[in-house]
Amino acid sequence: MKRLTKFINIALLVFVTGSIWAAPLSTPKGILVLQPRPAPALKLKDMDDNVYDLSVAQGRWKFVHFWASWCGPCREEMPSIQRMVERMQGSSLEIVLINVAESEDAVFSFLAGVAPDINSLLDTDGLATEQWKPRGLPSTYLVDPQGNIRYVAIGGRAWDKKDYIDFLHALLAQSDK
Amino acid sequence: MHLNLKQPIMKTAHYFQIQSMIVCLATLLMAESVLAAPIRSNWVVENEYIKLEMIARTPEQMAAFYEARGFPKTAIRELGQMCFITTSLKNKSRDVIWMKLANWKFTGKQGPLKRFHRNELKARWQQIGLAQQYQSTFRWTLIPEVLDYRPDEREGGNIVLQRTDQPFSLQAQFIMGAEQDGKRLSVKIGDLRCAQD
Repeated sequence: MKRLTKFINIALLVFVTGSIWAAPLSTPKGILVLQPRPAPALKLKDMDDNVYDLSVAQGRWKFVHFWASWCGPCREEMPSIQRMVERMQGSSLEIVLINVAESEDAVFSFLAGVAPDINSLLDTDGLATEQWKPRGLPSTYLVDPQGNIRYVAIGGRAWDKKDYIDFLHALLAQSDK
Repeated sequence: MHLNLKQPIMKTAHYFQIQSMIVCLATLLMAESVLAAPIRSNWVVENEYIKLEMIARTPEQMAAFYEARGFPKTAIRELGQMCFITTSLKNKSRDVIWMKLANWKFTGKQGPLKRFHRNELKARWQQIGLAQQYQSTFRWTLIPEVLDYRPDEREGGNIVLQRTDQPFSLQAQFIMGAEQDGKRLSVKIGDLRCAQD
């Protein structure tokens, strides 16, 4: 009987701990939990003409952000992304920005003014963006280490604010367990 | 205390003369300001569930926007013949609200006003051989045809109509609930106009 009680207790402990780990995190404002689905392939050149393939970041959480310089909310949001990048330095978060169908000059002159440390991929014909089907611009997806889209941010977010930084750190911590 | 009753009576007559002059002047000024009033180009409808904002854009504004993004002259000429209304919709409720442009009816004196579906515009761009990058930019400046607005979500973009110099109205319907099984919302905006240069 003692053995059975011990076994049940251990089983319960394993069950409870497991469900805490598997439970979705509480999300800050404007972050939606999605049914996991595989992220579309993404292979584009950046502003320095280097080819980037999202699949190289397999095994890490990815912050995939679609933007354009003509979009008002994107312009408002970009400085907060620059500050978020600074605050997440040293973490394993892969931050990927994709400009939608603008010229290199337009991208360069905009980013130089508001987020000089950020490099962006250039989806020059907009076709890669179409595969991801964002709700609008800007749009940010959080892709898990297995390559599944797990969260989407609605509209522009203040990414450098505590709620969002804590959330990103919690995601990374969850995958480290 | 001595009361002079004569003076107030004279003052009153004078007062009426001045008053009638002021009324005439005010009427003239009002009539002039009504005649000179600029045609309205922005509209807002708000209730406990949604906030809908619309701004009519002039052909010059649209040409300037797309020219700055490298659009060729052939495309700019096409755009000049259309009526652009920049639209923003915010879901103020705690439920999902479905927006489907197919449920938005624009009506003028002559009847329904044509709205260009994004696929029609895509076909037109392909017809004139507009480069893919410009087609993509153009698509992203349009409001989606269908979108399930989440609580607190605000999305927008342009609605493209057949250009007219006559006023028209909008009757827009929305459905609440993620499964589109909730309350039906309806909003109406009257006296909309395409903006002129």
